[in-house]
Amino acid sequence: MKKFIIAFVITAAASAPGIPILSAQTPANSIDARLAAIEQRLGILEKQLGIQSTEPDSDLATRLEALDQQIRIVGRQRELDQEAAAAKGTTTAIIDTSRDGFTIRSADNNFQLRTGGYIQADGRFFVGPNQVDSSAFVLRRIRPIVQGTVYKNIDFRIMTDFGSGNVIVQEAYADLRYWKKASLRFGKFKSPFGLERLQSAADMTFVDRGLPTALAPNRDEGIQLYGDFNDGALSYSVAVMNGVVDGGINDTDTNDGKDWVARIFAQPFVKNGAHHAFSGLGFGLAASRGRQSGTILPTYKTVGQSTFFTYSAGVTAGGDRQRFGPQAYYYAGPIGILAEYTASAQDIRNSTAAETITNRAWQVAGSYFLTGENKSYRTISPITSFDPATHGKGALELTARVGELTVDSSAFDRGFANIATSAHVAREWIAGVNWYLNRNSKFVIDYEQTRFTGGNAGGNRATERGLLTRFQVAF
Amino acid sequence: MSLIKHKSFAALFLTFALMAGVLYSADFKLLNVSYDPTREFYVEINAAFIKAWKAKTGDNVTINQSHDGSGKQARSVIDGLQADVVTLALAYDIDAIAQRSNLLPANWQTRLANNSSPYTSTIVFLVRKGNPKKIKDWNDLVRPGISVITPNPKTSGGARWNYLAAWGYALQQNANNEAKALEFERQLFKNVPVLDTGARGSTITFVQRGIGDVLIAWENEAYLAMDTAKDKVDIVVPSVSILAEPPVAVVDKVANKRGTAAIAKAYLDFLYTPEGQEIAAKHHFRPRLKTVADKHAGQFAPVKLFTIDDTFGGWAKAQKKHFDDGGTFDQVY
Repeated sequence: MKKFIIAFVITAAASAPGIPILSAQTPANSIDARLAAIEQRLGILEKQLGIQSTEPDSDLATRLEALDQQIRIVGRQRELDQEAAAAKGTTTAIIDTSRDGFTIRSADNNFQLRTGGYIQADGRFFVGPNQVDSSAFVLRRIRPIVQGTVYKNIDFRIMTDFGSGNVIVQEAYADLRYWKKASLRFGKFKSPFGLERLQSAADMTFVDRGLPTALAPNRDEGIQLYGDFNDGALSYSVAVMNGVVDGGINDTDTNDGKDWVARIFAQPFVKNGAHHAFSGLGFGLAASRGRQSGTILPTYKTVGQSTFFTYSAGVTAGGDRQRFGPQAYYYAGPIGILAEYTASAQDIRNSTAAETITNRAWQVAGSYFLTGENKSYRTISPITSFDPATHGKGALELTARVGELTVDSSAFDRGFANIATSAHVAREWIAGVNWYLNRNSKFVIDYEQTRFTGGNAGGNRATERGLLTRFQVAF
Repeated sequence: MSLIKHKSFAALFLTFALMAGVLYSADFKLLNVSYDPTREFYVEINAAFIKAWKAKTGDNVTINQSHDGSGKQARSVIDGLQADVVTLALAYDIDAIAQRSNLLPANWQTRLANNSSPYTSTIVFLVRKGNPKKIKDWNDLVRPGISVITPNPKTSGGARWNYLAAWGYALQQNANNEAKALEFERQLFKNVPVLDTGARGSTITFVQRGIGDVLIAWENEAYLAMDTAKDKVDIVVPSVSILAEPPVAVVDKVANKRGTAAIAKAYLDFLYTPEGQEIAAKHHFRPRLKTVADKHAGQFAPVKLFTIDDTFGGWAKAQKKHFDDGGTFDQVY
């Protein structure tokens, strides 16, 4: 046993960093000398482990016994250190930094705090004669995001926006997420209606969303019940919201009327995995109904953020508001297609007349990754990130979209809008290229043309021709 | 017209809900958060109580146990461990739960007999077979070359009893001179090569890992070690030691929330019954019930015992003076 102990200590001592190996001058047959050397090395080991050493005894048997004890103590101390480290691992908070942001979470993941956000620096350059808007550099969105989880099943998210010189709380909500099939959301959040509206602004394919989004509600305050079935093959949302005008966002409600908003969306092949030809197929239907009165009415803007329709002064909402929106996307490898139709009907009135105005819009958008990435509804990761040092090129995507928004002719016929200042129809096409440097940043360059019917005293408003650019960092 | 139908439906629903509730309430779950060396004791107590409770009420009860250093366990309960009852090594740890989390009232110790301590114990020594280092009393632990095993008083209730037992002995030997008692502890802990977090860990260090010449241990833990390693160790009872009173309490707010308050109290009451006291004696805890204590008197070595109240003025004072940050323990180790 003692020979074994000596062999163990020699091995341990020789392999420990900073401990000298036995001297070549040590006589091999001198047990006393070897023991002294082992004691010296064990002393160094103990010092490294913070163990108080005892003075060596003179008696050989006693010294061996002491060595045996010291070795056992070193082993036990190591055991205790490992136990303490394991126990600490179950309670110590974990700080995580990744491409998805910065996270602090408890060891059991039940409590989490994540920070992130995105910045979009745009340049809008309008070319051609009679352009309505000026070319400008704009900080379109500056959105820090704080979100997290408490007690495992309660999530929260706060997103402010400092873009375009304004400060607004875009989102502030809490989710009770106890059952996947039925969760609850309270606060201010995106009304569950438009397909492209529900896509994060950081994940958009173009500089801005298409014309159907102009008719869909934006962010609103209310309560939402939502859930997934069959691992996301079918999802639903039902919400009661204050109610906002088309494309509107609101923090206060000035009437008792509320909007019911419902959306159902199917991805029937999502469970078949990414290799399935239709796993990226999704389609759904959204509808809303509410009763609003006295509120302001919407204005509609082009993708270049130029207003092309506004109701005349003195016109207000005065009754029912309904929306209807079939929507679909299909993503297959590098190809992506998104199509959406929205109809929005609103009872309006002025001092002399009342009418239901139904506006309609549609869009079809497509994209193709030249560099082979898989397109998706959410952000994508380039196969190689841009890095001159490693010759990484990032991802290159070609994009195109056509769309149209038609304002009900009754709006002009009954005097609710002026055809000399507001367009009856806006038809856009847009083509561009996106360069993703990495998952967190990209350049977007779009060229768009929007032709109008009406909107000018002499007939049609001049076609908007814009070169729209963006550099975005999202994390 | 629909109002009547709604009422009928509501009544029906309520009836079913109550029936379901009654049926469901037949199964109870208790969590007993205890200290290190009570594992085997509560395994047997639990089995006996489950049987007794079933016979008395027809209800099923499942009792889960959690064991670790007493101080560590108290912190876990404060941090949210859902204990229906706590059976810890010392009153200070349950006081800490009451003060920091308000899970039970400050006067919890008055709710059960004998200061809520259904059994007692004391501190003894476990030495190598044949006592080769001739360790007989506390003063032998400070001799040069004696390796002493005791857990960390910062995390272990048993270790605090050990420390105070040594301190009390030193006071008695030195006419209550506290400076000399402090020096005695310093010499003692100079001989401690490794600190475990709990009493059971120290027993493993001494008995299974073969480290040290003497283990300062709970009496019941020492006898338990003898049961499993009688050819390796002997018990030495010092001339004087401390009366350890491990307390028990229902954690009111947890038990009320979980609907287990009544059964939790019955569980603790069971510890005072003759059956519970017999099981305590079997596991080398000193019974409180006189008839059982008399029956097992020969099982426990006579030892002169001093109390925490008489020698230290109670647990609150002892904790503050010796184990809080900057206390005497921090000065000696």
